[in-house]
Amino acid sequence: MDRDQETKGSRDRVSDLSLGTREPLRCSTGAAEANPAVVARGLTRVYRRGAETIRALKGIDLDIQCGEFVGVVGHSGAGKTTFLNLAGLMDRPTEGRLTVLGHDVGKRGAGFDALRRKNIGFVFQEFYLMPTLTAVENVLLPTMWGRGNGEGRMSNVELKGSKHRAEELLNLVGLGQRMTHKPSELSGGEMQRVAVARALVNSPRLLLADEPTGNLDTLTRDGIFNLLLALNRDSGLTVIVATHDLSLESRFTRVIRLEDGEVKNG
Amino acid sequence: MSFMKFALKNLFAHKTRTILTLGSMVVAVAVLFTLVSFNRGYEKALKTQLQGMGIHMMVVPVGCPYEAASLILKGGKIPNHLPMSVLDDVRKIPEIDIAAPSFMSGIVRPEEGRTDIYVGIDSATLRLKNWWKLEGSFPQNPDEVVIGDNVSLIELSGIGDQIYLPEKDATFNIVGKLGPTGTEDDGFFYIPIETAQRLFDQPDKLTAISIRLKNPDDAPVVTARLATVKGAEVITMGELLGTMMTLMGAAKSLLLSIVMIIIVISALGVLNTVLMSVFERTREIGVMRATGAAQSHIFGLVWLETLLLSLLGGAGGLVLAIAGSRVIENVVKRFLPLAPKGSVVALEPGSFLLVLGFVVGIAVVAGFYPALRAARAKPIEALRSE
Ligand SMILES: Nc1ncnc2c1ncn2[C@@H]1O[C@H](COP(=O)(O)OP(=O)(O)OP(=O)(O)O)[C@@H](O)[C@H]1O
Ligand SMILES: [Mg+2]
Repeated sequence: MDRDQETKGSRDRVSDLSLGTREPLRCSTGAAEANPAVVARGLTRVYRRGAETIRALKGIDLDIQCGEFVGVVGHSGAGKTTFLNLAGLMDRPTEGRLTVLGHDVGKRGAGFDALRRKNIGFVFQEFYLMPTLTAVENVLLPTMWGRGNGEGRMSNVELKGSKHRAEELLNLVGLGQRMTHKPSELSGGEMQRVAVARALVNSPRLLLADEPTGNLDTLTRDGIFNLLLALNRDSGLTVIVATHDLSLESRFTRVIRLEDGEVKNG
Repeated sequence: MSFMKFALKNLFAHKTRTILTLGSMVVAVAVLFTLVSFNRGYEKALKTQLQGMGIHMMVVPVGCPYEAASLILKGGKIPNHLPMSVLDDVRKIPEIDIAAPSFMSGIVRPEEGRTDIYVGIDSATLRLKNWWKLEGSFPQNPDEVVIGDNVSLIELSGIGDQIYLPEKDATFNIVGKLGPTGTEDDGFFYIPIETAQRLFDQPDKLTAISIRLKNPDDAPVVTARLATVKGAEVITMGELLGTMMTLMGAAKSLLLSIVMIIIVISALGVLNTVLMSVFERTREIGVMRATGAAQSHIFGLVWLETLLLSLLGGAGGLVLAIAGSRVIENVVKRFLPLAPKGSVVALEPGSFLLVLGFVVGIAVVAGFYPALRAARAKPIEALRSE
């Protein structure tokens, strides 16, 4: 009930933004129990710095179902970013098993570029925008590597379509007036919102956001958060947010607590 | 945003570096195109000139005829000679329009570092070389001489002056002077053929007979008939051209090594630029990978950038080459032996294709390694790099 009211504001706008109906890729909006988005078993990530080894994730087990809106919380250095990087196919596990959207992510093997491009949106803690590109061009970056669905170069009509979509997304995150600004001409919070818009441009099934509201004031933070909630509700987007903002905890459908590389949940 | 626009944006994110590389590429392509065009143009101009001369074949003494013929055109002393009787045999062949005998020999002037070439001719040569602009008159008497344009410059003498040959104790009156022909003819002394034979103690001997046919298509028939003449050998102008081109071989291989150096230098320049830009953009490449770019996309992008850089440089180079071709031609001609009169820089489609191949080749070679380096970057490591 609570959530319903909170998301109302942005929902109308979100429904304009067609994320599109698409046939499920082992991840449909219904029957969440039978539909894992991310499965980890003994997932371990060890960083090596010369002789030193840092066990950032110490063999965690967890299941995140499709359609969930999960918060990954924990102190700084707990391993949140490490986990998101693995789930977002940016990094490979040192040990253990990890399945993302039905794909087994081994230690080795071919890259999962297409899977990442088509189905996963990622908001980095440090944004990672392209310094030479404008806000709208940054949002368009993921569309350059082929269509959101399927492969191949985009036609002119599709190019126009994705431009339109990028502008819509920027409007949605409140940056309608900053389309042609370069990252160096944006504030930290604005850069963060560009990063959110970029993560959504290819209509992903799974959105991973690492501290997406870290640099924002409460009002803007709520706006972004409500947008993610609305996308989760209306389009069945699976969302995993890493945060140490305790005030947000109550709004997730589930919270996964990380502590020193281990899951600490009741 | 298209892939192409993105590549261009990346290139011009570092304007200075890109423009400097473009500049060196432009110069390299301009030089290359000029050299190639010159090489082709020179061959073509020589051919046109030889054909335009209307000399279809030459009868020379048995020996090493090609070399001899080249020497005759360039001027020199030929050890072997033709007997005078050959001329009568040649003149009996009906297909022949003009048969012009000549006797050529030289007087070495070591203290002046040159050899004066005396060519004995008769009026047949005047008819054969109908492009000659003769000022004054053709030698009628044994002690008269016509001088080439360069000779008049070197000897600082003209019509009415006298030339004394201490070696032969002979004096000649200059009765005529040739206008500049742009060929070796400019450097010779022309005297009556009998005088030349007497002067060099070779009575009844000829160096060569130059032949014009009534119809150039009869060349095979005439060659066959001349083959039966004792002590003589026939060479056609086509064959002669080949010999002259081999004499050009040395110049050509110099040309080739310059071309090789240009290719290596500009390839290294492009390689450096692209590699630097890849190193600097490690993080950006990480962002691209993180937003879904496959290794092939990164490889393709870096390669496209290299190709664009090369093609832009190539286009600029061609424009520069065409604009500057007249200037270059004048410079080059001055240093060239056997410079033909016509344009020696031929702008041919073939040269364009060759240069295009060079440009694409550079892009392919110089772009490969940087593109590979870029594509290999692991997303998360690339993102974290500084
Ligand atoms: N590339 C790396 N090399 C070595 N150690 C690393 C590396 N990345 C992270 N670590 C270490 O692994 C641990 C977990 O890091 P991680 O970034 O996952 O934490 P986090 O929960 O995201 O923290 P924060 O809330 O500050 O972002 C930390 O102790 C960190 O120092
Ligand atoms: Mg973190």
